[in-house]
Amino acid sequence: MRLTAIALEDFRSYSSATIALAPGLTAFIGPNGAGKTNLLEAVHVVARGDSSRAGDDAEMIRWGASVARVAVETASEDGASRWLEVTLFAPAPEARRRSRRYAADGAPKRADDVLGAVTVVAFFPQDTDLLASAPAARRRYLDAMVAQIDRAHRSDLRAYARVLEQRNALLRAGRDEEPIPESEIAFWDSELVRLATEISLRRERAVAELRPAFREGAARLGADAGIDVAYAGQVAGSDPDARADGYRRLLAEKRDRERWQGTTLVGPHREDLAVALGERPLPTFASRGEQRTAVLALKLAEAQWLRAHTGTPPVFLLDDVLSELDTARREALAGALPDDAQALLTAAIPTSLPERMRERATLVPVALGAVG
Amino acid sequence: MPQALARPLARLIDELSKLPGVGPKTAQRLAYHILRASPNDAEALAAAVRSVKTDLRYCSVCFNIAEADPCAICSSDERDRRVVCVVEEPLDVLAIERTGQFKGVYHVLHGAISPVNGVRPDDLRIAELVQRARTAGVEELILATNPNLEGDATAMYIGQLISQNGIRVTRLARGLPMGGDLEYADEVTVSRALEGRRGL
Ligand SMILES: [Zn+2]
Repeated sequence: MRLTAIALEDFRSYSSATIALAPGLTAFIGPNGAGKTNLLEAVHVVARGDSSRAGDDAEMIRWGASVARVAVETASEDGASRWLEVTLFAPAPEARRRSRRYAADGAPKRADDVLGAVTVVAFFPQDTDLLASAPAARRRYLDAMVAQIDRAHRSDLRAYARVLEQRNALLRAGRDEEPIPESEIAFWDSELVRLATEISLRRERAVAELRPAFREGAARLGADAGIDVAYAGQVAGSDPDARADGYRRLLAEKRDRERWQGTTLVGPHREDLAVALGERPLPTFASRGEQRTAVLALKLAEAQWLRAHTGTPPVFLLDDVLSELDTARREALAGALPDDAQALLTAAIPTSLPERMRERATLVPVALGAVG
Repeated sequence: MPQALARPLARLIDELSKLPGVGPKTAQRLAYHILRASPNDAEALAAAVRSVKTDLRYCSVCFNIAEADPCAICSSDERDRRVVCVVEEPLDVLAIERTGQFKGVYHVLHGAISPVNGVRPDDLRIAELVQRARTAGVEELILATNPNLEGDATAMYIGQLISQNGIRVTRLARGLPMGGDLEYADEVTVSRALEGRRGL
Protein backbone atom coordinates (compact mmCIF):
# COMPACT_ATOMS: atom_id res chain seq x y z
CA MET A 1 0.00 0.00 0.00
CA ARG A 2 1.15 3.53 -0.69
CA LEU A 3 -0.23 7.04 -0.38
CA THR A 4 -1.14 8.80 -3.60
CA ALA A 5 -2.54 12.08 -2.27
CA ILE A 6 -3.22 14.22 0.78
CA ALA A 7 -6.27 16.51 0.89
CA LEU A 8 -6.72 19.19 3.54
CA GLU A 9 -9.51 21.58 4.39
CA ASP A 10 -9.04 24.22 7.08
CA PHE A 11 -6.27 22.12 8.57
CA ARG A 12 -3.55 24.21 10.29
CA SER A 13 -2.27 26.78 7.78
CA TYR A 14 -4.13 25.22 4.82
CA SER A 15 -7.55 26.51 3.82
CA SER A 16 -7.82 24.00 1.02
CA ALA A 17 -5.14 21.91 -0.64
CA THR A 18 -4.70 18.64 -2.48
CA ILE A 19 -1.19 17.32 -2.82
CA ALA A 20 -0.42 14.42 -5.13
CA LEU A 21 2.27 12.06 -3.86
CA ALA A 22 4.76 10.20 -6.00
CA PRO A 23 5.99 6.73 -5.06
CA GLY A 24 9.24 6.49 -3.12
CA LEU A 25 10.75 9.55 -1.49
CA THR A 26 9.00 12.89 -1.35
CA ALA A 27 10.82 15.80 0.24
CA PHE A 28 8.82 18.89 1.21
CA ILE A 29 11.27 21.78 1.02
CA GLY A 30 10.60 25.19 2.52
CA PRO A 31 11.45 27.62 5.32
CA ASN A 32 10.36 27.05 8.91
CA GLY A 33 6.71 27.94 9.49
CA ALA A 34 5.77 27.31 5.87
CA GLY A 35 3.60 24.34 6.83
CA LYS A 36 5.76 21.35 5.88
CA THR A 37 5.27 19.62 9.22
CA ASN A 38 1.48 20.08 8.94
CA LEU A 39 1.48 17.73 5.94
CA LEU A 40 3.20 14.97 7.89
CA GLU A 41 0.99 15.61 10.90
CA ALA A 42 -2.10 15.22 8.68
CA VAL A 43 -0.96 11.79 7.50
CA HIS A 44 -0.21 10.82 11.10
CA VAL A 45 -3.73 11.80 12.23
CA VAL A 46 -5.39 9.61 9.59
CA ALA A 47 -2.99 6.71 10.14
CA ARG A 48 -2.80 6.58 13.92
CA GLY A 49 -5.49 8.90 15.21
CA ASP A 50 -3.24 11.10 17.28
CA SER A 51 -1.33 14.17 16.27
CA SER A 52 2.41 14.31 16.69
CA ARG A 53 2.13 17.55 18.64
CA ALA A 54 -1.43 18.89 19.12
CA GLY A 55 -2.93 18.18 22.53
CA ASP A 56 -6.38 19.08 21.27
CA ASP A 57 -8.14 18.79 17.92
CA ALA A 58 -8.98 22.49 18.04
CA GLU A 59 -5.28 23.30 17.72
CA MET A 60 -5.23 21.63 14.31
CA ILE A 61 -8.13 23.64 12.91
CA ARG A 62 -7.34 26.74 10.88
CA TRP A 63 -7.89 30.00 12.76
CA GLY A 64 -11.48 31.17 12.29
CA ALA A 65 -12.80 27.80 11.08
CA SER A 66 -14.71 25.34 13.25
CA VAL A 67 -14.26 22.16 11.21
CA ALA A 68 -11.19 20.67 9.56
CA ARG A 69 -10.98 17.74 7.20
CA VAL A 70 -7.94 15.60 6.59
CA ALA A 71 -7.90 12.85 3.99
CA VAL A 72 -5.31 10.60 2.40
CA GLU A 73 -5.72 8.57 -0.75
CA THR A 74 -4.26 5.09 -0.60
CA ALA A 75 -3.49 2.71 -3.42
CA SER A 76 -3.11 -0.99 -2.76
CA GLU A 77 -0.93 -3.38 -4.77
CA ASP A 78 -3.84 -4.42 -6.96
CA GLY A 79 -4.41 -0.78 -7.92
CA ALA A 80 -7.58 -0.22 -5.88
CA SER A 81 -7.66 3.26 -4.41
CA ARG A 82 -9.46 4.52 -1.33
CA TRP A 83 -9.86 7.88 0.40
CA LEU A 84 -9.60 7.71 4.19
CA GLU A 85 -10.91 10.78 5.95
CA VAL A 86 -11.03 12.28 9.44
CA THR A 87 -13.17 15.32 10.33
CA LEU A 88 -12.11 17.38 13.34
CA PHE A 89 -14.32 19.79 15.23
CA ALA A 90 -13.51 22.82 17.34
CA PRO A 91 -16.04 23.08 20.15
CA ALA A 92 -18.02 26.35 19.99
CA PRO A 93 -18.11 28.17 23.33
CA GLU A 94 -20.86 26.73 25.58
CA ALA A 95 -21.62 23.99 23.04
CA ARG A 96 -21.20 20.30 23.59
CA ARG A 97 -17.97 18.72 22.29
CA ARG A 98 -18.46 17.02 18.98
CA SER A 99 -16.45 13.91 18.50
CA ARG A 100 -14.47 13.23 15.35
CA ARG A 101 -16.03 11.66 12.31
CA TYR A 102 -14.37 9.04 10.15
CA ALA A 103 -15.11 8.09 6.58
CA ALA A 104 -13.80 5.92 3.75
CA ASP A 105 -14.62 7.02 0.21
CA GLY A 106 -17.19 9.40 1.67
CA ALA A 107 -19.11 6.72 3.59
CA PRO A 108 -19.18 7.09 7.39
CA LYS A 109 -17.05 4.50 9.20
CA ARG A 110 -16.09 3.65 12.75
CA ALA A 111 -12.72 4.90 13.98
CA ASP A 112 -11.35 1.34 14.04
CA ASP A 113 -12.14 0.92 10.33
CA VAL A 114 -10.08 3.95 9.32
CA LEU A 115 -7.25 4.16 11.86
CA GLY A 116 -4.57 1.56 11.28
CA ALA A 117 -5.49 1.08 7.61
CA VAL A 118 -2.27 2.95 6.76
CA THR A 119 0.76 1.96 8.81
CA VAL A 120 3.30 4.69 9.43
CA VAL A 121 6.55 5.09 11.29
CA ALA A 122 7.14 8.68 12.23
CA PHE A 123 10.04 10.68 13.52
CA PHE A 124 9.27 14.23 14.65
CA PRO A 125 11.87 16.42 16.39
CA GLN A 126 10.17 16.03 19.79
CA ASP A 127 10.58 12.22 19.53
CA THR A 128 14.20 12.80 20.52
CA ASP A 129 12.86 13.24 24.07
CA LEU A 130 11.27 9.79 24.12
CA LEU A 131 14.00 8.12 26.17
CA ALA A 132 14.34 10.96 28.68
CA SER A 133 10.56 11.33 29.12
CA ALA A 134 8.42 9.75 31.83
CA PRO A 135 7.69 6.03 31.28
CA ALA A 136 4.08 6.84 30.24
CA ALA A 137 5.36 8.31 26.95
CA ARG A 138 7.25 5.11 26.11
CA ARG A 139 4.25 2.95 27.05
CA ARG A 140 2.10 5.08 24.73
CA TYR A 141 4.66 4.68 21.96
CA LEU A 142 4.85 0.92 22.41
CA ASP A 143 1.07 0.52 22.65
CA ALA A 144 0.47 2.58 19.50
CA MET A 145 3.01 0.39 17.71
CA VAL A 146 1.43 -2.89 18.86
CA ALA A 147 -2.09 -1.60 18.14
CA GLN A 148 -1.11 -1.11 14.49
CA ILE A 149 -0.97 -4.85 13.99
CA ASP A 150 -3.31 -6.03 16.75
CA ARG A 151 -6.71 -4.43 17.26
CA ALA A 152 -7.35 -6.49 20.39
CA HIS A 153 -4.54 -4.54 22.02
CA ARG A 154 -6.45 -1.27 21.63
CA SER A 155 -9.66 -2.67 23.14
CA ASP A 156 -7.75 -4.40 25.94
CA LEU A 157 -6.10 -1.09 26.82
CA ARG A 158 -9.48 0.62 27.00
CA ALA A 159 -10.87 -2.16 29.21
CA TYR A 160 -7.76 -2.09 31.38
CA ALA A 161 -8.09 1.67 31.94
CA ARG A 162 -11.66 1.18 33.16
CA VAL A 163 -10.68 -1.67 35.48
CA LEU A 164 -7.88 0.47 36.93
CA GLU A 165 -10.26 3.38 37.47
CA GLN A 166 -12.77 1.18 39.32
CA ARG A 167 -10.15 -0.67 41.33
CA ASN A 168 -8.44 2.56 42.38
CA ALA A 169 -11.78 4.04 43.46
CA LEU A 170 -12.39 0.95 45.57
CA LEU A 171 -8.92 1.07 47.14
CA ARG A 172 -9.42 4.77 47.96
CA ALA A 173 -12.79 4.05 49.54
CA GLY A 174 -11.11 1.30 51.58
CA ARG A 175 -8.43 3.67 52.76
CA ASP A 176 -10.85 6.47 53.67
CA GLU A 177 -13.69 4.34 55.06
CA GLU A 178 -13.98 0.70 56.14
CA PRO A 179 -11.33 -1.75 54.85
CA ILE A 180 -12.43 -3.56 51.68
CA PRO A 181 -13.29 -7.24 52.15
CA GLU A 182 -11.48 -9.72 49.86
CA SER A 183 -14.80 -10.78 48.33
CA GLU A 184 -15.35 -7.26 47.03
CA ILE A 185 -11.98 -6.74 45.39
CA ALA A 186 -11.70 -10.27 43.96
CA PHE A 187 -13.42 -9.44 40.64
CA TRP A 188 -11.22 -6.39 40.01
CA ASP A 189 -8.11 -8.44 40.82
CA SER A 190 -9.05 -11.17 38.37
CA GLU A 191 -9.85 -8.67 35.58
CA LEU A 192 -6.63 -6.81 36.30
CA VAL A 193 -4.58 -10.03 36.06
CA ARG A 194 -6.36 -11.18 32.89
CA LEU A 195 -5.83 -7.90 31.01
CA ALA A 196 -2.35 -7.24 32.47
CA THR A 197 -1.21 -10.63 31.17
CA GLU A 198 -2.51 -9.96 27.65
CA ILE A 199 -1.16 -6.40 27.41
CA SER A 200 2.20 -7.09 28.98
CA LEU A 201 2.88 -10.23 26.93
CA ARG A 202 2.02 -8.47 23.66
CA ARG A 203 4.35 -5.61 24.50
CA GLU A 204 7.15 -7.92 25.59
CA ARG A 205 6.84 -10.09 22.49
CA ALA A 206 6.96 -7.00 20.25
CA VAL A 207 10.11 -5.68 21.94
CA ALA A 208 11.80 -9.07 21.73
CA GLU A 209 10.95 -9.24 18.03
CA LEU A 210 12.33 -5.81 17.19
CA ARG A 211 15.45 -6.14 19.34
CA PRO A 212 17.78 -7.62 16.68
CA ALA A 213 16.77 -4.95 14.17
CA PHE A 214 17.25 -2.27 16.81
CA ARG A 215 20.79 -3.41 17.60
CA GLU A 216 21.63 -3.65 13.94
CA GLY A 217 20.19 -0.20 13.19
CA ALA A 218 21.91 1.38 16.18
CA ALA A 219 25.27 -0.02 15.04
CA ARG A 220 24.64 1.24 11.53
CA LEU A 221 23.91 4.73 12.85
CA GLY A 222 27.13 4.66 14.84
CA ALA A 223 25.77 4.06 18.34
CA ASP A 224 27.72 2.27 21.06
CA ALA A 225 27.83 -1.45 20.35
CA GLY A 226 26.49 -2.39 23.79
CA ILE A 227 23.21 -0.54 23.39
CA ASP A 228 20.15 -2.71 23.94
CA VAL A 229 16.39 -2.59 24.29
CA ALA A 230 14.16 -4.64 26.59
CA TYR A 231 10.68 -4.64 28.01
CA ALA A 232 10.87 -3.88 31.72
CA GLY A 233 7.93 -5.89 33.00
CA GLN A 234 7.03 -6.42 36.65
CA VAL A 235 6.82 -10.18 36.30
CA ALA A 236 8.63 -12.71 34.13
CA GLY A 237 7.37 -15.65 32.13
CA SER A 238 6.45 -15.83 28.46
CA ASP A 239 3.75 -18.42 29.16
CA PRO A 240 0.39 -16.73 29.89
CA ASP A 241 -0.35 -18.91 32.92
CA ALA A 242 3.05 -18.28 34.47
CA ARG A 243 2.67 -14.57 33.82
CA ALA A 244 -0.81 -14.45 35.37
CA ASP A 245 0.53 -16.33 38.40
CA GLY A 246 3.30 -13.77 38.68
CA TYR A 247 0.81 -10.89 38.73
CA ARG A 248 -1.34 -12.68 41.30
CA ARG A 249 1.67 -13.22 43.56
CA LEU A 250 2.75 -9.60 43.19
CA LEU A 251 -0.77 -8.40 44.01
CA ALA A 252 -0.70 -10.45 47.22
CA GLU A 253 2.72 -9.07 48.05
CA LYS A 254 1.72 -5.44 47.48
CA ARG A 255 -1.77 -5.71 48.93
CA ASP A 256 -0.96 -3.80 52.13
CA ARG A 257 0.84 -1.02 50.29
CA GLU A 258 -1.93 -0.73 47.73
CA ARG A 259 -4.52 -0.43 50.49
CA TRP A 260 -2.44 2.10 52.32
CA GLN A 261 -1.71 4.22 49.23
CA GLY A 262 -5.20 3.77 47.81
CA THR A 263 -3.93 3.01 44.31
CA THR A 264 -3.04 0.06 42.07
CA LEU A 265 0.69 -0.65 42.04
CA VAL A 266 0.67 -3.82 39.95
CA GLY A 267 0.15 -4.03 36.20
CA PRO A 268 1.37 -2.84 32.80
CA HIS A 269 0.67 0.79 33.74
CA ARG A 270 3.82 0.52 35.86
CA GLU A 271 6.01 -1.15 33.21
CA ASP A 272 8.41 0.43 30.74
CA LEU A 273 10.34 0.16 27.52
CA ALA A 274 13.97 0.32 28.57
CA VAL A 275 16.83 1.37 26.32
CA ALA A 276 20.14 0.88 28.09
CA LEU A 277 23.84 0.49 27.72
CA GLY A 278 24.79 -2.33 30.03
CA GLU A 279 23.15 -1.63 33.35
CA ARG A 280 22.67 2.07 32.75
CA PRO A 281 19.51 3.54 31.23
CA LEU A 282 20.56 5.56 28.19
CA PRO A 283 19.16 9.01 29.08
CA THR A 284 21.14 9.12 32.34
CA PHE A 285 24.40 9.64 30.44
CA ALA A 286 23.82 9.92 26.68
CA SER A 287 23.92 13.26 24.84
CA ARG A 288 20.88 14.48 22.92
CA GLY A 289 22.57 13.37 19.72
CA GLU A 290 23.10 9.87 21.08
CA GLN A 291 19.51 9.74 22.29
CA ARG A 292 18.29 10.82 18.87
CA THR A 293 20.34 8.06 17.25
CA ALA A 294 18.84 5.48 19.62
CA VAL A 295 15.28 6.64 18.94
CA LEU A 296 15.94 6.59 15.17
CA ALA A 297 17.23 3.04 15.51
CA LEU A 298 14.07 2.16 17.44
CA LYS A 299 11.88 3.61 14.69
CA LEU A 300 13.78 1.83 11.93
CA ALA A 301 13.39 -1.41 13.87
CA GLU A 302 9.69 -0.67 14.30
CA ALA A 303 9.42 -0.32 10.52
CA GLN A 304 10.98 -3.74 9.96
CA TRP A 305 8.74 -5.21 12.61
CA LEU A 306 5.63 -3.73 11.00
CA ARG A 307 6.71 -5.03 7.63
CA ALA A 308 7.25 -8.52 9.04
CA HIS A 309 3.70 -8.50 10.42
CA THR A 310 1.77 -6.74 7.67
CA GLY A 311 3.77 -7.81 4.60
CA THR A 312 4.27 -4.24 3.35
CA PRO A 313 6.70 -1.56 4.50
CA PRO A 314 5.12 1.30 6.47
CA VAL A 315 5.13 4.88 5.20
CA PHE A 316 7.97 6.82 6.79
CA LEU A 317 7.26 10.33 8.08
CA LEU A 318 10.56 12.09 8.80
CA ASP A 319 10.18 15.63 10.03
CA ASP A 320 13.30 17.76 9.91
CA VAL A 321 15.43 14.85 11.03
CA LEU A 322 18.28 15.29 8.56
CA SER A 323 19.36 18.77 9.66
CA GLU A 324 20.05 17.42 13.15
CA LEU A 325 22.30 14.60 11.94
CA ASP A 326 25.95 14.73 10.91
CA THR A 327 26.90 13.66 7.38
CA ALA A 328 27.77 10.08 8.30
CA ARG A 329 24.46 9.55 10.08
CA ARG A 330 22.50 11.14 7.23
CA GLU A 331 24.11 8.70 4.84
CA ALA A 332 23.40 5.83 7.24
CA LEU A 333 19.75 6.83 7.56
CA ALA A 334 19.42 7.16 3.77
CA GLY A 335 20.87 3.67 3.44
CA ALA A 336 18.57 2.25 6.10
CA LEU A 337 15.34 3.32 4.37
CA PRO A 338 14.08 0.35 2.34
CA ASP A 339 14.22 0.98 -1.43
CA ASP A 340 10.57 0.07 -1.94
CA ALA A 341 9.27 2.14 0.98
CA GLN A 342 7.42 5.40 0.65
CA ALA A 343 8.84 8.23 2.73
CA LEU A 344 7.64 11.78 3.27
CA LEU A 345 10.28 14.05 4.69
CA THR A 346 10.74 17.73 5.35
CA ALA A 347 13.84 19.88 5.04
CA ALA A 348 14.57 23.61 4.99
CA ILE A 349 16.97 23.35 2.04
CA PRO A 350 17.53 20.60 -0.55
CA THR A 351 21.21 20.32 0.30
CA SER A 352 20.44 18.79 3.69
CA LEU A 353 19.37 15.69 1.76
CA PRO A 354 22.24 13.28 1.21
CA GLU A 355 23.23 12.83 -2.44
CA ARG A 356 21.68 9.37 -2.77
CA MET A 357 18.37 10.62 -1.36
CA ARG A 358 18.27 13.76 -3.50
CA GLU A 359 18.75 11.69 -6.65
CA ARG A 360 15.65 9.60 -6.15
CA ALA A 361 13.47 12.06 -4.24
CA THR A 362 10.60 14.11 -5.62
CA LEU A 363 11.24 17.64 -4.34
CA VAL A 364 8.11 19.62 -3.49
CA PRO A 365 8.53 23.28 -2.53
CA VAL A 366 6.25 24.51 0.28
CA ALA A 367 5.62 28.20 1.01
CA LEU A 368 3.15 29.54 3.56
CA GLY A 369 0.26 27.15 3.24
CA ALA A 370 0.79 26.59 -0.48
CA VAL A 371 2.33 23.46 -1.91
CA GLY A 372 3.97 22.87 -5.29
CA MET B 1 -43.74 45.18 42.78
CA PRO B 2 -47.01 43.97 41.25
CA GLN B 3 -47.18 40.23 40.55
CA ALA B 4 -46.85 39.87 36.74
CA LEU B 5 -48.14 36.30 36.77
CA ALA B 6 -50.97 34.94 38.83
CA ARG B 7 -49.39 33.01 41.66
CA PRO B 8 -50.82 29.51 40.82
CA LEU B 9 -49.59 29.79 37.24
CA ALA B 10 -46.13 30.92 38.36
CA ARG B 11 -45.99 27.96 40.71
CA LEU B 12 -46.92 25.50 37.96
CA ILE B 13 -44.24 26.93 35.62
CA ASP B 14 -41.74 26.72 38.44
CA GLU B 15 -42.52 23.06 39.15
CA LEU B 16 -42.53 22.05 35.48
CA SER B 17 -39.15 23.65 34.87
CA LYS B 18 -37.62 21.32 37.48
CA LEU B 19 -38.26 18.36 35.14
CA PRO B 20 -35.25 17.05 33.20
CA GLY B 21 -34.98 18.51 29.71
CA VAL B 22 -37.59 21.21 30.37
CA GLY B 23 -36.31 24.77 30.11
CA PRO B 24 -38.21 27.91 31.21
CA LYS B 25 -39.71 28.42 27.72
CA THR B 26 -41.05 24.87 27.51
CA ALA B 27 -42.33 25.07 31.09
CA GLN B 28 -44.34 28.18 30.17
CA ARG B 29 -45.80 26.53 27.10
CA LEU B 30 -46.78 23.42 29.06
CA ALA B 31 -48.29 25.51 31.87
CA TYR B 32 -50.48 27.48 29.46
CA HIS B 33 -51.48 24.24 27.77
CA ILE B 34 -52.62 22.82 31.11
CA LEU B 35 -54.39 26.08 31.92
CA ARG B 36 -56.44 25.82 28.74
CA ALA B 37 -57.10 22.06 29.10
CA SER B 38 -60.50 20.76 30.17
CA PRO B 39 -60.97 20.36 33.93
CA ASN B 40 -61.11 16.57 33.39
CA ASP B 41 -57.78 16.41 31.57
CA ALA B 42 -56.06 18.64 34.09
CA GLU B 43 -57.45 16.58 36.97
CA ALA B 44 -56.32 13.32 35.30
CA LEU B 45 -52.77 14.67 35.03
CA ALA B 46 -52.73 15.77 38.66
CA ALA B 47 -54.13 12.40 39.75
CA ALA B 48 -51.53 10.51 37.73
CA VAL B 49 -48.72 12.49 39.31
CA ARG B 50 -50.14 11.92 42.81
CA SER B 51 -50.70 8.24 42.10
CA VAL B 52 -47.08 7.39 41.22
CA LYS B 53 -46.06 8.59 44.66
CA THR B 54 -48.93 7.21 46.74
CA ASP B 55 -49.90 4.04 44.89
CA LEU B 56 -46.46 2.69 43.97
CA ARG B 57 -44.13 0.90 46.29
CA TYR B 58 -41.27 -1.57 46.21
CA CYS B 59 -42.30 -5.20 46.27
CA SER B 60 -40.78 -6.53 49.49
CA VAL B 61 -39.93 -9.84 47.79
CA CYS B 62 -38.34 -8.81 44.46
CA PHE B 63 -37.94 -5.01 44.95
CA ASN B 64 -39.53 -4.24 41.63
CA ILE B 65 -41.70 -1.12 41.55
CA ALA B 66 -45.30 -2.27 41.90
CA GLU B 67 -48.82 -1.30 42.88
CA ALA B 68 -49.20 -4.05 45.41
CA ASP B 69 -46.84 -5.74 47.81
CA PRO B 70 -46.05 -8.47 46.92
CA CYS B 71 -46.19 -7.49 43.26
CA ALA B 72 -48.34 -9.18 40.61
CA ILE B 73 -45.47 -11.43 39.49
CA CYS B 74 -44.42 -12.50 42.98
CA SER B 75 -48.01 -13.31 43.97
CA SER B 76 -48.97 -15.11 40.76
CA ASP B 77 -49.63 -18.88 40.87
CA GLU B 78 -48.37 -19.24 37.32
CA ARG B 79 -44.79 -18.25 38.16
CA ASP B 80 -42.09 -20.68 39.15
CA ARG B 81 -40.54 -19.38 42.37
CA ARG B 82 -37.63 -21.80 42.11
CA VAL B 83 -36.06 -19.77 39.31
CA VAL B 84 -35.05 -16.17 40.10
CA CYS B 85 -33.80 -13.81 37.42
CA VAL B 86 -31.57 -11.08 38.89
CA VAL B 87 -31.61 -7.75 37.02
CA GLU B 88 -30.20 -4.27 37.56
CA GLU B 89 -33.29 -2.11 36.94
CA PRO B 90 -37.11 -2.38 36.79
CA LEU B 91 -36.92 -1.69 33.04
CA ASP B 92 -34.90 -4.90 32.63
CA VAL B 93 -37.87 -6.85 34.05
CA LEU B 94 -39.94 -5.34 31.25
CA ALA B 95 -37.37 -6.38 28.64
CA ILE B 96 -37.48 -10.00 29.80
CA GLU B 97 -41.27 -10.04 30.24
CA ARG B 98 -41.63 -8.88 26.62
CA THR B 99 -40.13 -12.17 25.45
CA GLY B 100 -43.04 -14.04 27.09
CA GLN B 101 -40.59 -16.89 27.67
CA PHE B 102 -39.57 -16.56 31.25
CA LYS B 103 -41.88 -18.19 33.82
CA GLY B 104 -39.80 -17.61 36.93
CA VAL B 105 -39.66 -14.61 39.26
CA TYR B 106 -37.32 -11.62 39.54
CA HIS B 107 -35.01 -9.80 41.88
CA VAL B 108 -34.25 -6.15 41.13
CA LEU B 109 -30.89 -4.91 42.47
CA HIS B 110 -31.43 -1.21 41.63
CA GLY B 111 -28.02 -0.70 40.07
CA ALA B 112 -24.67 -2.38 39.53
CA ILE B 113 -21.42 -2.32 41.46
CA SER B 114 -19.34 0.70 40.42
CA PRO B 115 -16.84 2.06 42.97
CA VAL B 116 -16.17 5.08 40.73
CA ASN B 117 -19.79 6.11 41.19
CA GLY B 118 -19.71 5.20 44.86
CA VAL B 119 -21.90 2.12 44.34
CA ARG B 120 -20.77 -0.75 46.59
CA PRO B 121 -22.56 -4.06 47.26
CA ASP B 122 -24.31 -2.63 50.32
CA ASP B 123 -25.93 0.04 48.17
CA LEU B 124 -27.76 -2.65 46.17
CA ARG B 125 -30.42 -5.20 47.14
CA ILE B 126 -27.77 -7.94 47.36
CA ALA B 127 -28.11 -8.83 51.05
CA GLU B 128 -31.85 -9.28 50.46
CA LEU B 129 -31.12 -11.57 47.52
CA VAL B 130 -28.79 -13.75 49.60
CA GLN B 131 -31.43 -13.94 52.34
CA ARG B 132 -34.08 -14.85 49.78
CA ALA B 133 -31.92 -17.55 48.21
CA ARG B 134 -31.26 -19.08 51.61
CA THR B 135 -34.87 -19.41 52.68
CA ALA B 136 -37.30 -19.61 49.83
CA GLY B 137 -36.56 -22.90 48.05
CA VAL B 138 -34.74 -21.20 45.19
CA GLU B 139 -33.04 -23.67 42.81
CA GLU B 140 -31.58 -21.41 40.15
CA LEU B 141 -30.38 -17.81 40.04
CA ILE B 142 -30.07 -16.34 36.55
CA LEU B 143 -27.73 -13.35 36.73
CA ALA B 144 -29.06 -11.02 34.05
CA THR B 145 -27.03 -7.94 34.90
CA ASN B 146 -25.84 -5.92 31.89
CA PRO B 147 -23.01 -7.35 29.76
CA ASN B 148 -20.47 -4.70 30.73
CA LEU B 149 -17.70 -4.37 33.30
CA GLU B 150 -19.99 -3.25 36.13
CA GLY B 151 -22.62 -5.88 35.31
CA ASP B 152 -19.94 -8.58 35.29
CA ALA B 153 -18.53 -7.34 38.60
CA THR B 154 -22.00 -7.52 40.13
CA ALA B 155 -22.69 -10.99 38.74
CA MET B 156 -19.39 -12.38 39.96
CA TYR B 157 -19.83 -10.85 43.40
CA ILE B 158 -23.27 -12.41 43.78
CA GLY B 159 -21.99 -15.68 42.33
CA GLN B 160 -19.34 -16.09 44.98
CA LEU B 161 -21.80 -15.27 47.79
CA ILE B 162 -24.36 -17.81 46.59
CA SER B 163 -22.15 -20.60 45.28
CA GLN B 164 -21.93 -22.49 48.58
CA ASN B 165 -25.69 -22.83 48.95
CA GLY B 166 -26.22 -25.67 46.45
CA ILE B 167 -28.07 -23.30 44.11
CA ARG B 168 -27.42 -23.35 40.37
CA VAL B 169 -26.04 -19.93 39.39
CA THR B 170 -26.16 -19.03 35.71
CA ARG B 171 -25.26 -16.01 33.60
CA LEU B 172 -27.00 -14.84 30.44
CA ALA B 173 -25.31 -16.00 27.24
CA ARG B 174 -23.09 -13.56 25.40
CA GLY B 175 -25.65 -12.94 22.68
CA LEU B 176 -26.19 -9.42 23.97
CA PRO B 177 -23.90 -6.83 22.46
CA MET B 178 -21.00 -6.30 24.86
CA GLY B 179 -21.43 -3.05 26.70
CA GLY B 180 -25.10 -2.86 25.66
CA ASP B 181 -27.96 -2.68 28.10
CA LEU B 182 -30.55 -5.37 28.52
CA GLU B 183 -33.38 -2.85 28.35
CA TYR B 184 -32.43 -1.79 24.80
CA ALA B 185 -32.05 -5.31 23.39
CA ASP B 186 -34.79 -6.76 21.19
CA GLU B 187 -36.95 -9.73 22.23
CA VAL B 188 -35.21 -12.31 20.06
CA THR B 189 -31.80 -11.36 21.43
CA VAL B 190 -33.02 -11.48 25.04
CA SER B 191 -34.73 -14.86 24.45
CA ARG B 192 -31.56 -16.29 22.98
CA ALA B 193 -29.44 -14.94 25.83
CA LEU B 194 -31.85 -16.57 28.32
CA GLU B 195 -31.88 -19.93 26.53
CA GLY B 196 -28.12 -20.02 26.21
CA ARG B 197 -27.40 -19.17 29.84
CA ARG B 198 -24.45 -20.99 31.35
CA GLY B 199 -23.15 -21.89 34.79
CA LEU B 200 -21.04 -19.14 36.27
ZN1 LIG C 1 -42.21 -8.88 43.50
